Amino acid sequence: MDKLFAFDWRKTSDEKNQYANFAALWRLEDDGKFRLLDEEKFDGYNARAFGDVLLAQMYDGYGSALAGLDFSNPAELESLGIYSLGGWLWADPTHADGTPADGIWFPLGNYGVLKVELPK
Amino acid sequence: MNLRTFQIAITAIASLVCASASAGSAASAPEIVSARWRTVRVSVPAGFESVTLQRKSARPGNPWETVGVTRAAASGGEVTFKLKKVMPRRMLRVLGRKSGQLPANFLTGRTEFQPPSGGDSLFPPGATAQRAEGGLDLAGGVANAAVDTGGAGGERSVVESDIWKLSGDRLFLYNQYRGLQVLDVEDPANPALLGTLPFPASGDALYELTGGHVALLASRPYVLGWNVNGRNGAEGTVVICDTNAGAPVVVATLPVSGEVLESRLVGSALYVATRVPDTEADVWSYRTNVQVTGFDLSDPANPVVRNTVTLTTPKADSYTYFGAVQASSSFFMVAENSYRWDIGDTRSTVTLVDISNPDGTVVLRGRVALEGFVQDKFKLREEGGMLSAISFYQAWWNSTRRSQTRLDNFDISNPDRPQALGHLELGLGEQVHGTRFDGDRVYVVTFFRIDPLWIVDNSEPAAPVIASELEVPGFSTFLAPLGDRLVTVGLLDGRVTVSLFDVADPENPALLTQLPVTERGAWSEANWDEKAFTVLPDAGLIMLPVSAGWRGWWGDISPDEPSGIQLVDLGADSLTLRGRIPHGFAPRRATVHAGSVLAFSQDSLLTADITDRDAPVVTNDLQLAWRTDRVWHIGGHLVHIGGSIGGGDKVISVSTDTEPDDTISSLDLGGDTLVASDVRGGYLYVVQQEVVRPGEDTLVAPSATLRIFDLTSLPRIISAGTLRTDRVTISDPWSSRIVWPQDGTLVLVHGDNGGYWFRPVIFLADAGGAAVGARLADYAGIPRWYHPQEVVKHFEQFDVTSAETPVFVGRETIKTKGWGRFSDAVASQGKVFITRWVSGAGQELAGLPFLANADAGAVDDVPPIAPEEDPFAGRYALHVLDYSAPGGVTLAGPVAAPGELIGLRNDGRVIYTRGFDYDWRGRGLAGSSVIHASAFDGEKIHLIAALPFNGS
Repeated sequence: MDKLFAFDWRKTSDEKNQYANFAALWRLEDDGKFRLLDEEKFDGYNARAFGDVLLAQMYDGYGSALAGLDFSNPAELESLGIYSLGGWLWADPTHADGTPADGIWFPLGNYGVLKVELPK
Repeated sequence: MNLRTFQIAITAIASLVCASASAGSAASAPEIVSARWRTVRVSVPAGFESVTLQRKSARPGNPWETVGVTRAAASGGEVTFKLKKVMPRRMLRVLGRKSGQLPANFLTGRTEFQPPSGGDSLFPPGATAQRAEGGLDLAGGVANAAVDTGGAGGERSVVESDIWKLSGDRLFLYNQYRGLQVLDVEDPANPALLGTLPFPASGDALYELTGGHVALLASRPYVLGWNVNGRNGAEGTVVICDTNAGAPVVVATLPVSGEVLESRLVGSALYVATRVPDTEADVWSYRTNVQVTGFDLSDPANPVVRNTVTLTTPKADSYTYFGAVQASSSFFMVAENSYRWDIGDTRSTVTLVDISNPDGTVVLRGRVALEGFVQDKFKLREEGGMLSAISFYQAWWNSTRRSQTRLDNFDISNPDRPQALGHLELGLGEQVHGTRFDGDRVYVVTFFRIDPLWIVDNSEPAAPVIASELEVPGFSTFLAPLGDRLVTVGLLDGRVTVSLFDVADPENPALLTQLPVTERGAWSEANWDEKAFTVLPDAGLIMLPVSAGWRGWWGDISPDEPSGIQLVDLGADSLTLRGRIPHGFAPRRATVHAGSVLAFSQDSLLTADITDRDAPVVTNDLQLAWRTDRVWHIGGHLVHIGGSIGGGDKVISVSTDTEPDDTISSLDLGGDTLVASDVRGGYLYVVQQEVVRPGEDTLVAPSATLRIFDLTSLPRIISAGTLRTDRVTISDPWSSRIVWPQDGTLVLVHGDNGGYWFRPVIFLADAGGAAVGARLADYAGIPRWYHPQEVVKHFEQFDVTSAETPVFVGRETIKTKGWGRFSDAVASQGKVFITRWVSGAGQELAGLPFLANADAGAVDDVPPIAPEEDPFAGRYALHVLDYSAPGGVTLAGPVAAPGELIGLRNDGRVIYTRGFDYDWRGRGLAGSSVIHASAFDGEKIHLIAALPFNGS
């Protein structure tokens, strides 16, 4: 049935007492149970899907950034890494538009429009 | 012999050779015997008719200037010259003239003569700009090209950064909203934007380099892209661009460690002061150090980072922070201010960084401690081996609170061991404002109730004296020396004011005139940034930006006064207020180019004809930046909703998707508040609400407007239909959303979500990957502190089956009492789903009649929900509004729900929510957090599964 993304903050499986943010993709099976398809470390907020790519805002240590996650293969989530904006430009996916093929355009308020092309 | 000593020796040798060449032989040439302060003694052999004393000039290409010529006895002897200001001996030379020869200095002048650039028609042919000695370089018509460089002994020019630079017909703008913009202004009436380097919000320091290159000193790394590496902890960047092709191209980037504080371009070397953590201090002390780094930009495409020095100003028992920098061609001076707990006051330490090596190498030298603190760059100067500093101290320990200003002179001929020469205190009990060094003079403005203008004679550094004190109303924040005149800008009774002084006789200065140029409430950037104060003495013109006419919640500020560039006639003894070039957004800079005024604000470049200065005519207004709040990608176009920067206007604009900053078409939506917008089926739907201004009748509900635009013929924006109604009132437009339960039915959902709530990031992804469901990772709603007892959600229904004739159908309202919140609304199959949660008992649910405008009548067709005690107090409940029913909207629910709505599947038959986990009795487990999948049969919600979820 349905697929559902959930972002979780929990212990990692490989490191004791280490916590990380995860993106987990679940599916509601016909037997009425959730089944985990895959999970991947992923940090961000204001997440939004553009086709099979999830983009979320985050802070990369220097300023505003975007985190990307490719879920075209639900069984194997793939992190696209971090798109650095290098400063305090708020690229909010909420009001952005586009597709993974064409690129995503983000409104930046007074700073105009930012086009983000997704890695091939 | 260290490097500096070696250089001095070379210079001295060169001077001797020069003197020898002019005189025929070394033994028979005049020689400088001594140069002590302002007195230069020269020995003259027999046979010379006259002797010429020259000094090195700071102006490039004209290295020697004649100081004076004196006759010599035929039998030889000694002659004496009196300098106007102190200069080191190495910067002086003497030339002898024997009988019958041409004066030797006749052969030392300029040999290259280039035609003027720009052809400024405001300046009469042959006119030359005055240059105040040691003050503003007004040549070229721009008063802010270089400021108080001092260091007359060097050949390298000292340049401060700015947000713009006019170079011939090229104008470089470091636009904080876009980045580096290059414009062709050959025809000022038709300026053309040649290209933009996208680098917004990165800084305001631009330098022009050689060969068409421009350097940006950015306060952040130059990174934009996926998985960019190589920042190495750098906080700033020097970005060098080649602009020869018009559009700027980055040719090099250099990382800058630490927070960028200040910089100067001296010759071809860039010096940058940054703030870095003090690695030797306690990590919790947050103590910082200042570093100075030298960059060699002589080959702009291949810049070199030379070296960095760290200032080690003592910081024990003090809180130290950056004060100001100033540079000469020999020294980069850094003032750090320390608050000293032991005396309860602030003191400055000025550190000398030797930058005399033109390749950018920096060498840390000595430092001097001041009795007060240095407020800005105009309070430091190095010239001829003497450092002068103006500091201010509060003297808090004195119960009478007597503050004072102090001038200190130091001999830094040995920069490792500066020696105090003399000092002067003035302005007892007053606050220091604008100051300026001008040759041997120092202008100081202090203020308590009036503005004394002090003129200090600093010709004897060991004993500076007050030449005069002139009391003037108000105070000046910036002073521009013009030889015998002094122009200042400041404040008088809260109004921006330009003043003109006669300072020909420093012992008897006179205020010639004071000219307020604004009303109260307006302000000018010239009051805190001298680069915004343009003085063009040859054109008899002063220009300064004025920001006025702003509207705040408390009412209007100088509402009848437009923002713009104020023109002031500058006469020998007068100032005359002329017209103002209107410039909507805060203007920042202005200059004259090719007979026109170019005025720059961050959003536009404005060109004006000021032939009639009382009535300047705007001949062009080139938009450089604007605001984009929403964007949609449609075909090869982008549809923006935004407006002007800083303005309340709303504009739809269309660009190509390859040139998003190049507007092809636009449509003005006016100033009404933008409530919501959406694109569906080739149409753009925009809901706006009339703005109610302070003081207007708030009992009359503001009307709302739904506007529909046909986007199928882009870039044309075709207005399809408009509906204006006073039956829709939106109290909180920021939380409004458009949902579509079905084609032709637009529902505007607005109301209070019940406060700020961090909600988890959860959403549904269908098989195709498209997200369906509520937007789930954001703040929800607006604070309820002003009205905490109600949470309301409205659903305004519009029939847009015909885009040309939209119809307002009616409003449904869900209102609860008590603390609570709503989920986002989700639409599916003709229905709109929403959940609510209300804490405590005694709540009320009601469908309320439309109350905002009684004349409009009741618009709710649905009977109110019975105002009974809420059976769902402390629980989640689902409401469903069904718009598909032929008889009108039906409101189902409330239905007990396990949590807050996330999204729907299977046409609303599967519902995802987030909330508590429940035990076998159906009681929520405190502290639990799960995602629920439930089935909805139209009457009840049946829990299917629960997924534990921490919900970060």
